[in-house]
Amino acid sequence: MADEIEFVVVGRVTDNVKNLLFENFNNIKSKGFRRVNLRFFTDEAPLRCLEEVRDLLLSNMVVSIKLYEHGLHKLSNVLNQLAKQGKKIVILSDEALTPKIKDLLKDLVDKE
Amino acid sequence: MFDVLLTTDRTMMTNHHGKEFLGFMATGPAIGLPEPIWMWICAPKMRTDDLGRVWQAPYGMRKIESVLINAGFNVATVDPDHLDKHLKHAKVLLLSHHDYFALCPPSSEWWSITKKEPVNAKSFRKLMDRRSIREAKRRGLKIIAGGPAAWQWLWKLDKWIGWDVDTVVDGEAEKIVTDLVSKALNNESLPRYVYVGIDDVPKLEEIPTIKHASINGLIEVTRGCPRNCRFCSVTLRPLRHYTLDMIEQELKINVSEGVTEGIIHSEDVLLYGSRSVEPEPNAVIKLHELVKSYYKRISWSHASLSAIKRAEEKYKLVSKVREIICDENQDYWGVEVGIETGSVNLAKKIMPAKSAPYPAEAWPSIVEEAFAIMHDNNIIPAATLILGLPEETEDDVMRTAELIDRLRPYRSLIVPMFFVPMGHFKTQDWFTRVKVKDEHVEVMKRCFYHTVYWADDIVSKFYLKGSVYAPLRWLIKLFLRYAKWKIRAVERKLEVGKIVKKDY
Repeated sequence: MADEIEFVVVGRVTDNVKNLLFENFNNIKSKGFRRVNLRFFTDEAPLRCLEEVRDLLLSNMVVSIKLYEHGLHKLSNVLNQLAKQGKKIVILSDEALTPKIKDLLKDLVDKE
Repeated sequence: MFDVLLTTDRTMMTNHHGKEFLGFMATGPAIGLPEPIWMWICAPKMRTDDLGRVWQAPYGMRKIESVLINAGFNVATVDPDHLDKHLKHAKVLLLSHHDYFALCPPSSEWWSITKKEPVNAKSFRKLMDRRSIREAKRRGLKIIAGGPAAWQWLWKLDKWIGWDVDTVVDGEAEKIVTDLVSKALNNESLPRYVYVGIDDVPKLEEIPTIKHASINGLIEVTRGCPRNCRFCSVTLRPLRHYTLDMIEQELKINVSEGVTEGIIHSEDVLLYGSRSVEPEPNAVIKLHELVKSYYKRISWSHASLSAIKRAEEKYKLVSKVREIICDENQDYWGVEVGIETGSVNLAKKIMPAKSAPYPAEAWPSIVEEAFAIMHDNNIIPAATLILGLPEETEDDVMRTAELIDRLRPYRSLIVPMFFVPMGHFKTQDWFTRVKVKDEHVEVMKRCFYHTVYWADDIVSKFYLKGSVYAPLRWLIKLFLRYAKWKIRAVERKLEVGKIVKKDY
């Protein structure tokens, strides 16, 4: 859908990631996005990501949110699917990305 | 056998003996009575068919059931006592609740005062701890939880993980539930959490009518509210009034399944058909004529005090509605109203439009006048007020205490509730923030004495009159007597405490 946007977070939700999400949530409303998919790729304890972004979820009252929790091994699959759907991928922060993931993302970003 | 089941625990899957207000007892623990008797009073078992499908179910669950039936799913709303046999075959279990973990008022207050877990949370916990659910999960059952208390799961992640709930849905689910259930049935990945934003809220034509009876014949006539109070989440949704045709379809369903009394549900019944805060008298009259042509007895879920005053002052609308409602079958009706505060300052800050079309400065007098109108027209309100609101001062609380004193002549129940952040306040850390102060205790005491003063009159002459209700009436009076004795004992203790503190 044209008004849908995906945020992909790999690994732990650091303060920096949290700030980026908050910042971008505010921006997307003004840019006309009304539906957000939050995808967390982590092998941490279940729902840890949800606990970490609870403030973000509770501060939202406008946009629709779907929060997904995936194992890290699903990352390339899901990213490839998103790329196939023609979604533009923008890297907001690469602080926690392993070289392998960086390569994967580079390939996908290059496709655009 | 059914692929998709809807259910909830006993405190929700009950019609409270046809007396909705008794359901409030499910928000507390058993007090002064053994728990089985307490549960019998507030949550008697629901009648079912041979398959365990309930006679009446919570209205919101009936809506979701209707969406899924329309989409062609093999779905049933079953009683918790009949759940186990269906879990052997079902693939998806949908849950709903008004207060899963007793975090809403007044459950949270009962819990903090009595230090005992309220029966609603206890009953839900027992449901989820069942071995049959654990075994079904191992076989691949997907659990999706929703309803008005869905937000509570965000504060109870241990339960979410422990019970292995797959998805929590917060918001009106009509437009998204079909997709979720399809994914669950096809074993596709489900989101862990879904929030239904403004653009996914169903339009009026996307809301189906119910296909089976709702608890106590409740029928929704409006969704949303135009008043924009800062503590409320309902106000964030767009305003939608059901057409009379939709309402009639639901009335017919209830009556055809043997439910002949009912509740008109809206955040503000007197604003039915209005796009502002000004009542539309013709719409309100037509609504009541329609509902009363199907139901013998009716009540309102909610009305605002300013709409009550405005409707009577400008249109004599409350009196006209009384002429429609009161007949040989009923001589009063009940409603829940929000006083929230007796302080003009606080009213201006948190609910400036609640008094509209009157100014916020007039709020305390609006409350008094609306109570007088209700008293004169045999409307019995269960009023709530909120303590511990953000920015509340000692003076604000004392203004509320004074207002309660001025409401003494009017037949009503007044229930104080501690603030739970919803709407614009919902991110606030209320677990650690709520501190009960002396002035809060004073308001709670005044509410208690107001309520027990009128409760005896209401129970004997209105709510539970007649020989059918004699055992219930007796038990409620017994509870009231115990509660009075208990509060006086606590007061004496507090007084002794004060003297000791003063002397030393």
